[in-house]
Amino acid sequence: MQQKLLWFHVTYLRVQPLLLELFLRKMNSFQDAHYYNLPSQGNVYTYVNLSLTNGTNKVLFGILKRKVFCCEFTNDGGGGLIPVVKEVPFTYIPAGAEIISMDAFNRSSNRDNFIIGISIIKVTSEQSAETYLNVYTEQDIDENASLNLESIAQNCLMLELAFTPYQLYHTYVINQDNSKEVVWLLSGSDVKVHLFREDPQNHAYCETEIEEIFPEFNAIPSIILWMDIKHTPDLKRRLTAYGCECGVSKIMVVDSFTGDTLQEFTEYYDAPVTRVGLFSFSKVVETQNLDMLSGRGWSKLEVTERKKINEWTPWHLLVVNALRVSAVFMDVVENGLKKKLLLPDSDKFDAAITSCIADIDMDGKPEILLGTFSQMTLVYKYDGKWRLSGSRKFSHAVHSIGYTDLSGDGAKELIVATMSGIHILQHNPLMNEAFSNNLSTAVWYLKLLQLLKPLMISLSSVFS
Amino acid sequence: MNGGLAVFKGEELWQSISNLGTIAAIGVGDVMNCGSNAVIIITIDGHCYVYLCLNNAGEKLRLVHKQLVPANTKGLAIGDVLGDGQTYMVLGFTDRIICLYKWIQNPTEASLVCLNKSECTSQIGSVCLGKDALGKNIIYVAQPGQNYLTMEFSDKEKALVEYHMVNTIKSKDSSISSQVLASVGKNGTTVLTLLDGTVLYVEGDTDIKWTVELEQQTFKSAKVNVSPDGAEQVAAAAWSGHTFIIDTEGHVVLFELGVPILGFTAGIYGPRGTTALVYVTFDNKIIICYDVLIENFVLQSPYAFQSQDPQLANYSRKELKKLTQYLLYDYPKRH
Repeated sequence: MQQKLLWFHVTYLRVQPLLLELFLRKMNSFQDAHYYNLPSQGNVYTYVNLSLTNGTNKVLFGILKRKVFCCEFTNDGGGGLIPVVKEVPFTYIPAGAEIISMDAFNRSSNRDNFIIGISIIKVTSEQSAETYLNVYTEQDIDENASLNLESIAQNCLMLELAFTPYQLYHTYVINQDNSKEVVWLLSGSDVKVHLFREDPQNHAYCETEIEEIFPEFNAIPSIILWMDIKHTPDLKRRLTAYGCECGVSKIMVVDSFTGDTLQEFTEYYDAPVTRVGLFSFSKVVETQNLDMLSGRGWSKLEVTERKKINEWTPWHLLVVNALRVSAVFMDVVENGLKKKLLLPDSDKFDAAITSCIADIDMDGKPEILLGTFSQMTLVYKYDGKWRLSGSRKFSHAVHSIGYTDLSGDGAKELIVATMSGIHILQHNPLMNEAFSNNLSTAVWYLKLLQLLKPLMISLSSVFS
Repeated sequence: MNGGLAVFKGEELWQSISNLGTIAAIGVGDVMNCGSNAVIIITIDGHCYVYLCLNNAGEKLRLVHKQLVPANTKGLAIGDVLGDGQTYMVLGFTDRIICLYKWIQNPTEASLVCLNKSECTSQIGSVCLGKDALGKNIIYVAQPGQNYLTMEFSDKEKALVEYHMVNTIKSKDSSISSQVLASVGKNGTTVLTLLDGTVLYVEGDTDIKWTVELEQQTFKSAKVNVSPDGAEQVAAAAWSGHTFIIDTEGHVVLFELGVPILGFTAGIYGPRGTTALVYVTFDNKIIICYDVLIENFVLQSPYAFQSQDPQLANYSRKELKKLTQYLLYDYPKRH
């Protein structure tokens, strides 16, 4: 007991015990930047990344006790960074209610016009509970206004739900005039996915029939724990993946206009699928900027054409399982679920409950990070197979992992939300000689020096 | 409170001694000048126990001496105060008295003998030893407000006492009790921590280099060494369990223990020669946080280095961000 207590506090202090340091490989390029102790726990659905148009990011994290915290970095004018975690007072979350899931998107492409959705539950008696979806928007937004979270948090549209909400997700539908309309998708305890669309006339959101628009959610075997939807660059197809409580994971290719299911693959597990993730080794996906690949086919899904397309955008599907070995299905459009690569030892650390797909070692290819209930973060790297290349133990169960540029300086930070608090990890300072043997940072600096001259010529293209 | 002393070595309990009486101060040093360290335990009612720890490995502490000293000890420091290679013991009492003791041994009897007795102007906050510019040991005594005393012994009985009033812009309540830490960092600076959360970094004798106002009442402070480059820092603890670790530039890192505490100390007590923070909680537990390492007291972004590079001077912060992002994530890597 005494030893356990010691251990708890050592990790709690954001201290790397020396012994553990030997065990760290991939993750040793990170150093603790900040730790914020949360008054109560969040869950896997309460992590939201806000990508501001100026290139910086803020992370919102909701906790059971009605509170939402915003993590950001502020500059001290020079190169110093000050981490700030503060509460954002969201209205219309009644006393006794608990936050279940959160999501957000930017309605504008050139300014910060965020819409934040929060699903809550209020247990009224032993038998019954009220559930709501709160949608927060900024009503009067100036053309050049910067993000004002407090103002957004004051403007709430409240929708009563008839089910217990699970994951809150957003994607877009393509309207007849080819315009994108962002909609909410909310998985529910009634084994359905509910679609919420904006009603611009009444300035309200309302639930719409999902059958026609998202036919892929028509026959769900059990509650969907996680869904992920990606669109092709020409917007004509979308890939929908979801994982269910009963262990079913599905991937479908759907025609965005007609709603016809073009391909469908199913995999069965005997344990819940906690997370699915569609990703590509192409950097375009990593930066969420799918437009850059537009014009690359996808018009016809004929075999020859598909091959050509797949040279550019092979989509891989990560399926995280609570009890079994998690797996990646490589190039799902081409291979279906036939090419299954396992993430070795991903079942050895209690339930894997969260994941993050990000290029944390800066080699140009994304790694897979899994967060487990037994406090571990596992890093998998691809070299023909997926190999466990690093790990790090935290003081509590890992609920969410994010890799995002909080500092707004171009270098991303790793955010790990655990049951007890939020860890912000930063890549080691780049020019510190003591850390120069650190691969990624040293390579970075050398490259910076070597590249400086040729870059001067090509800078215009980089900065355009 | 009930006079129990527990000695831990690494993670295991090495020895426990009980029924000593309420312990006021503990110190370790070669007070007997015999080449072996001894544990000095002083109880509040003035009993002084000397447990010798012979250098033979594996042997437990043995009571070799017991005597009376004045009651109500507030602070204890052990070291070579006179600069003659001998070890002395300095005791500070709640009645403002500072005593210097030396182990005197003759064939018939042996005891700690008081060589010098001085009275301070006001209550003693803490006692510690530091070095002056010439490397000579000096006794530092914290006084209420922003003041401290130094005592320098030129010969056996004569003490050169100097009272330092720290120059400050803000006037402080002169009754706030304080703690003093001498010879912190490379420059051997004196650091005063006040009960109201003020930390003063004193340059020279009385000039303030910086002050930090912590939001909590810091009742106990200690010197630590938590950065990889070996520099010294000050750790100041509040009753809430919040511990502030302050580097020599005044940057503060806060550690929340999460439970209220009544005692705190810190030092190189970790099993691998690393800093450990030691807390005593109100529910009779000792919590030790060991292997404490803080890589950086200040978070820096690549911009800190880019802004100093003359070759990059023409680029705006936004452009440098794009450059960093391109090089880190988008530049085609060779494998």
